[in-house]
Amino acid sequence: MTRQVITANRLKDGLVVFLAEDGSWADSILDAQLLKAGSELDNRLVLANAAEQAKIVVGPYEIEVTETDTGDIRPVRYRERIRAYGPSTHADFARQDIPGHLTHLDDVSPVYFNGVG
Amino acid sequence: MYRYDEFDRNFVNERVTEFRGQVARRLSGEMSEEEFRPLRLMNGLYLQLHAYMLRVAIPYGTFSSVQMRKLAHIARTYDRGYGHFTTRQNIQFNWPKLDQVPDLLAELADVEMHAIQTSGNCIRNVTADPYAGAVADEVDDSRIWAEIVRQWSTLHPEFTYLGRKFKIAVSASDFDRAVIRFHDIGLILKKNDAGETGFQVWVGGGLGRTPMIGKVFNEFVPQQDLLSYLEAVLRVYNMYGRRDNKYKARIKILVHETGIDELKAKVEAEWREIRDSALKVPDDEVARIRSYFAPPPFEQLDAIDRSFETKKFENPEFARWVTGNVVAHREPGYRIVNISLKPEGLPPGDITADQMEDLADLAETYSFDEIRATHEQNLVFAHVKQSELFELWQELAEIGLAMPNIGKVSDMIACPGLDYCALANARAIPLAQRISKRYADLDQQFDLGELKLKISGCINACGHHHVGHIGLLGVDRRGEEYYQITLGGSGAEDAAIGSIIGPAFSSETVVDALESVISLFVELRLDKERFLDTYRRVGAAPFKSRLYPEKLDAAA
Repeated sequence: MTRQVITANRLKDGLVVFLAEDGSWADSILDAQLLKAGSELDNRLVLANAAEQAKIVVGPYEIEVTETDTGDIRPVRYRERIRAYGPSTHADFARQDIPGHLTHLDDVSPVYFNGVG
Repeated sequence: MYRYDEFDRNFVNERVTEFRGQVARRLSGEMSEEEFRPLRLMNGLYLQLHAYMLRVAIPYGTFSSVQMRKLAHIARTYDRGYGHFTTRQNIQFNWPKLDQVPDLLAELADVEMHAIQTSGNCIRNVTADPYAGAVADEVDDSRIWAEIVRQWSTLHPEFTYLGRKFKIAVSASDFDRAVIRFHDIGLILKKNDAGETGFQVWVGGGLGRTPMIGKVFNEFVPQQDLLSYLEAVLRVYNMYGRRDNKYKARIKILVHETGIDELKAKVEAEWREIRDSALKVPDDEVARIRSYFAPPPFEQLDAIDRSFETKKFENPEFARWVTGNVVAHREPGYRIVNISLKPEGLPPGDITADQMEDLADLAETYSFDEIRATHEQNLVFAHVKQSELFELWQELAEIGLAMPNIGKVSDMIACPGLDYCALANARAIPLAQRISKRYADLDQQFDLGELKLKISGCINACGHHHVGHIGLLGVDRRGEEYYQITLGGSGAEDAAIGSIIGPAFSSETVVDALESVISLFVELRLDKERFLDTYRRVGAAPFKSRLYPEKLDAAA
């Protein structure tokens, strides 16, 4: 089932962050709050926009995610997967703390974000 | 090298102070992102997919060991230990933190560097031939004129808020090593019959979603009239260029929609008005700037160094690197050395802080303390003694930078693509990495000869795919990465825009498709023909039928 997650870049360092249940902004998509499209999402977007006014984040928006069999959260669009997992070009830039992230430095052939998960 | 005078130094320092204040107001909330965005862009700072990105200018691609060491320090202190050389002789840092950027810029200013004119709708950092001052085929050192254009363009009050960005490149040779014909204005230094120096002026070239080859607007603008002519072109563009649609705002569209004759007439009319104004470039000012680019103290050397010939004979790997990466210098006993930033399987243009420091040391030892960046995301040591090439090669090999693949299939241009860029539709670097691994065999690469492969992750074409002998363009097809193949482009003196060969290939199949194209070239090629020449001789049809055999069946 697809859910929504709210993401943005943190103002101070530009890094990708996700809105967590307690209203804070988490570094990892695994800590993001899963939202249902509709009023639940809309209410949280109000909070996210307030965080932009409060100079915490820049440009918040919602993305579609799926929950994997192992309970991990995976964005549907590959653009958002790259945002969540880090660049696929340097293993040391990728988010190795996120299970299921893909690192590709040693073997650059299986770099497809499509159909993984 | 050019050194800052008091004016330059004050200006750059004042800009740092000003930006420090702007960042503070952004962080305190006095300024919204909307208000801050144009200000940060004027200082080369983008907000990309994962983080801020700072693009640092290397005017006309020339910089010193001291500056390279500072870039290494910045990579280590403010970034993640890397830098990335771009296609306009700049370097990008992919992870700076906003609150630290003012300190970063202050450190750059300490070594006479900045990030001004690397973004925004202004006249961008002026680029030049990376072999300037070293190669025999040039009329003059193009950097002298690039610096004159730089001084005229920096903070030019009339051209700070143009309809769109504006890129100028300068060359001084019949061989185009600076993509002159695909710039908003491309300048080629020429001598006329009287032996005077002037510029052939190309206007309206560009890539992006509407690729255009520039048109010659003037065959010979005398050197003292360069700035008035540029000002006339810019003024006409600023006056008549479209502002209703950012995709139609570049001067190439104005040239295309107005027609060359009409636009040229407007430029000429404007030029007549201002030609004899304060914009006349005074000879003593040219001489002053020329003195900064005086040739280094070359030694009187024999044209042939015996030990060099012996080393080549004894060491085939060294000989291959010399064949691949080393070119003739105008001084006897010297050579121009290209340093490939395309090691096998690694991101094109990336360089680590350690490599930067090692290269700074090597430049000091072997090339008069001077480094050049090329638009093909490589570096150049412009003045190396033939007798020291072997030592330099050994030292480069130790730091993983002796790849002898200049101009070969693995010497790809690739934009940052979706791994970094907020505009991209698909990734470019991992595709370059896969191709680099597929063509890892250097014998095969040398057999294939010159083959310019260029990859862009979106239609903005930062990876120059339109002018690749083979170009790859990343597109998003229903949420998946696909790649369109274009054939027959060239960014050199034989300029051409590549043609799309057919429907795009999936990420999984595109490298095989590329291999099919290259295999067919090998079958069709006459003698040692380049891919581009074979393609021009046989046309697109054989490549189409090889790539899309099912279409052929359907037609039969």
